[in-house]
Amino acid sequence: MTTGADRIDPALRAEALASLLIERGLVDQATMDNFIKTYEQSVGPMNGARVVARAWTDPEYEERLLADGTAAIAEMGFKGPQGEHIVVLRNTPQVHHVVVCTLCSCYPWPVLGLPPSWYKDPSYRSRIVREPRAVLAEFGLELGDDVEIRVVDSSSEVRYMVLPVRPAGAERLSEDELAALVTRDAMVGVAEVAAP
Amino acid sequence: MNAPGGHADPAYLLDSSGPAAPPRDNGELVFAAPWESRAFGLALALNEAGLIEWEDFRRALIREIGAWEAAHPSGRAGTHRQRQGADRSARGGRPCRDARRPPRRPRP
Repeated sequence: MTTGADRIDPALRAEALASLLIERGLVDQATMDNFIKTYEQSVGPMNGARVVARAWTDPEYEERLLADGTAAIAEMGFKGPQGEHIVVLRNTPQVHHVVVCTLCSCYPWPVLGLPPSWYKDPSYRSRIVREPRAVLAEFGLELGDDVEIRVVDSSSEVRYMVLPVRPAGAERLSEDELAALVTRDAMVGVAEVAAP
Repeated sequence: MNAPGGHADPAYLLDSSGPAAPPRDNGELVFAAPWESRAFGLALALNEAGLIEWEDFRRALIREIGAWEAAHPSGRAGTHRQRQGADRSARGGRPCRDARRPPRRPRP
């Protein structure tokens, strides 16, 4: 659609759309605010970090997580939009998964929150497919030639989350302490979890 | 509930260290500008009210992104959202599905 409205500054356009839809009773401000607040405060990579820490310490949970990500994640209480079909991929010293959404910005919201700006960037979305090793190096992750890199494309059908390799030296840490080590980037696959 | 100024309050972006600091997602603001949160809340509210199907929204988003990227080969996502309205030539480009081949998905 090409209309004059497309030329309006996005802030004005968002404001105008919201005002109009609220005025007509199609949406209400409280519902909008509630969604915004939820994703600003309650849903984020700390959820995924808890899932990872549990998988690292509970082999049966890890098995369930890899078999049915959505169900095992819901078990921890993390559900909601964009979490209907989550597939968890386990990284190993030999195989490294990295996630992209080549067409837009599909992302497993219940465990990672909303995607960072680089995840939506056209350059990340195209280059990670063509030259994953170089892009990962730019993120500071140098993988040896013996490590196989698998780039996986999230979509509305399936949203991927990476189960990173548990770092050496973390054997004695509690689940909470482990969760504190896990970063968003490690669960997207552009980083590894650093040793404590 | 929001602070008195709501999301339009500039303090929302400025106070990055005090107790009222904006929530951060691994060091990055979840929403880079107030209008982003407004558009996000609006899309989810419309979906919840049954007025839009999320998949329709996603397809429309993919079309917009693809058209913009076709017209701005070295563009960045940040500028996409700011410039899409100002640049009519962004429309009518090749569909982004043709522009890139998604990688094969492994069977987990």
